[in-house]
Amino acid sequence: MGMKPSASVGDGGVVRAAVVVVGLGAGGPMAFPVWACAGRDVVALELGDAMGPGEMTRREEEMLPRLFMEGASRATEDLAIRVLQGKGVGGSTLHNTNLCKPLPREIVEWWANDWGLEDLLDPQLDADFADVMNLLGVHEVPDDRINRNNALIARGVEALGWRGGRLMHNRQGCRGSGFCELGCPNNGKQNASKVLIPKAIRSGGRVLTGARAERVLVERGRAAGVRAAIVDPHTGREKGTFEVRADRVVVAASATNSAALLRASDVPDPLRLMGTNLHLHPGAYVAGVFDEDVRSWEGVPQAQECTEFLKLGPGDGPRAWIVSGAAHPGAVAGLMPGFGAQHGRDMLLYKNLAILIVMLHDESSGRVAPGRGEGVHISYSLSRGDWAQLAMGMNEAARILLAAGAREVVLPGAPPRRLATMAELDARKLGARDVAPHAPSLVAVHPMSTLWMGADPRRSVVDPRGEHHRMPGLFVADGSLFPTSIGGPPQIPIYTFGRRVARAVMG
Amino acid sequence: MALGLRDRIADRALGRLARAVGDDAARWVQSVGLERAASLVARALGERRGEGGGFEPWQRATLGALQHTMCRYDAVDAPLPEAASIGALEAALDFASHMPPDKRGQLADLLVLFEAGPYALGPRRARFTRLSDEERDAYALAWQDARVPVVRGAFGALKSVCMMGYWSRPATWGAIEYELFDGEHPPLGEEE
Repeated sequence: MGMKPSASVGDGGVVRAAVVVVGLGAGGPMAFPVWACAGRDVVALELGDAMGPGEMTRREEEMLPRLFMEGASRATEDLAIRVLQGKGVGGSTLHNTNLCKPLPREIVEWWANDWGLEDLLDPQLDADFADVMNLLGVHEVPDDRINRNNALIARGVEALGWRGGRLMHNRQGCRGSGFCELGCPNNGKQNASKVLIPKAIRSGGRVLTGARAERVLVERGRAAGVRAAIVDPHTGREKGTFEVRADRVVVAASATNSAALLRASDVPDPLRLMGTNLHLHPGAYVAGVFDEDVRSWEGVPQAQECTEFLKLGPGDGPRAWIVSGAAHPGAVAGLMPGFGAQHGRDMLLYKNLAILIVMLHDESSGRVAPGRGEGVHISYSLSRGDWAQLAMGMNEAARILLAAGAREVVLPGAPPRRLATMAELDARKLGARDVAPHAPSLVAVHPMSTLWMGADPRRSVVDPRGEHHRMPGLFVADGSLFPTSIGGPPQIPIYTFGRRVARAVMG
Repeated sequence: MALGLRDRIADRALGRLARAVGDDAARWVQSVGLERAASLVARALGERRGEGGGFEPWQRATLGALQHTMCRYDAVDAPLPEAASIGALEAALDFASHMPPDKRGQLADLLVLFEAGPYALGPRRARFTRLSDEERDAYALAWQDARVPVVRGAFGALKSVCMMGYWSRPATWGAIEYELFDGEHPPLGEEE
């Protein structure tokens, strides 16, 4: 069958398989070829469509609705944080900026000690990370691909003598067009849709697109399949429902959609854990205005980081991950403070802006509940401590930009602060009370932790292998698994845990 | 401008509603819910609310007027075009058309409240689309800087749609020297 629209099954249709996987982002596709190559009859369901490089038009207004859940309008209930999550065959790996980091050792030890995940201390985890990074061709971004934005940020971090450096990416065929976030037009990403899914299909795996999972089917206390809506990927219109009957159900639809799916199903949850513990890595941007042209939208967007203010393990410490960023004009204009004449003057400086994103390794947590259609309800508020961390991170990001030679930095608080010197920054830096919902605008691209793993069924949703504590045959294979925020890019950890869950499913 | 009979009826109905709601319109919306609030306000306006995630012509006009306010760059020393001259409203509506029906419905409901909001928030009792440019600026600022976070959030949601519609138009790119960059390198990994 290969890959087909779910409409091919027909309203009321039934598909049978050994394994059904819901969601083709990073975790599901890493597991998908494992089963297919082992001869298991596996069917994968994906809400979005399959898109090739030729369909990546580089136009924001066209690609954002195609590549992101809810037409790129997903947000927390109070609208304070936009939550950008991918859809389509490849999920968020279609639009991410290819950042690759294995799970930090501090996080592994934290989880081992506090959630009974001692297995993670086994060398097998390191071997799994190495295998996954090798498979995806992960390498440091080479010197000749460092654009002006990233070069300036490296200069600022170095001038301050702070921890940080070059990031690793999974790219091959990249021409440096800078359209990573809108889908690569040059097929330059070693992502799920390029590396993993074709291999699974060649080995007999089946994919149904335009399939929105509505419920996990349960029989005699075991997961028995999935009921899904047949959805037109372009209009979102429903055209009926169908079922996939399978002995194993693997949910890999992201920390929001997987949790919402399980909560909408008859999956036992006596302690009401499912959907709680949501972490987001909410991020705010800080811009520096340079005399020279920066043109941050051209070239590899995110290649430099600063980890000076990032303590990853448990306990007190700074929790701000500072990383370079870029966006195209429609998104930048939406995030930039104000409107009218001052906004227009700021937009004229677009080519002179270097941009840093301050992403929180968040202690705050929220919850997810099912919504209508592809919608989910996301409740999440930053703790007082996280607001303080955000303010601190924004101040230090501004310092990096000034150290790199910015003639002015813009801290988008309420009102935005425009500062020209280190002395001015020290005198007028942001405090926790100077930042609040909607000032600055926050964006989150890393939801995680809503169906987290652990040894104790009273304190976790799934076991260390990824199988639900109270529902045999139901597995989780996405960022929902993480017991805490991980403080860095999640794609490699999600891919890797997808592979580990694949092994558990195989028994 | 003299008001017609229909406008005078709407004016009285909205005045009554604004008095009933009191000083804290945002709290009233939160207490009755966005959908119900929009339904009541639309009825007072004498307009259809826009069902099923669609926008009525008057809601499109509200969005267009808001976009004009947000992207009014005539005081900027650069050749930035007027939103209405480059199809920015159509682009914004097309962008919104890809949202799920629930989200489009919320956006349509926000436009109902935004249009009628001056009755509760000032600067004078009139629909948003009938305010002068200066009055619209003041009114939009009141939403942007509102004490209640969810009002700021609503404004942010409307702003992102307006800005996407305007700045995604190629006619705006020359002024900011943006272009669809092709990349300047041979494909990574294939030149070695």
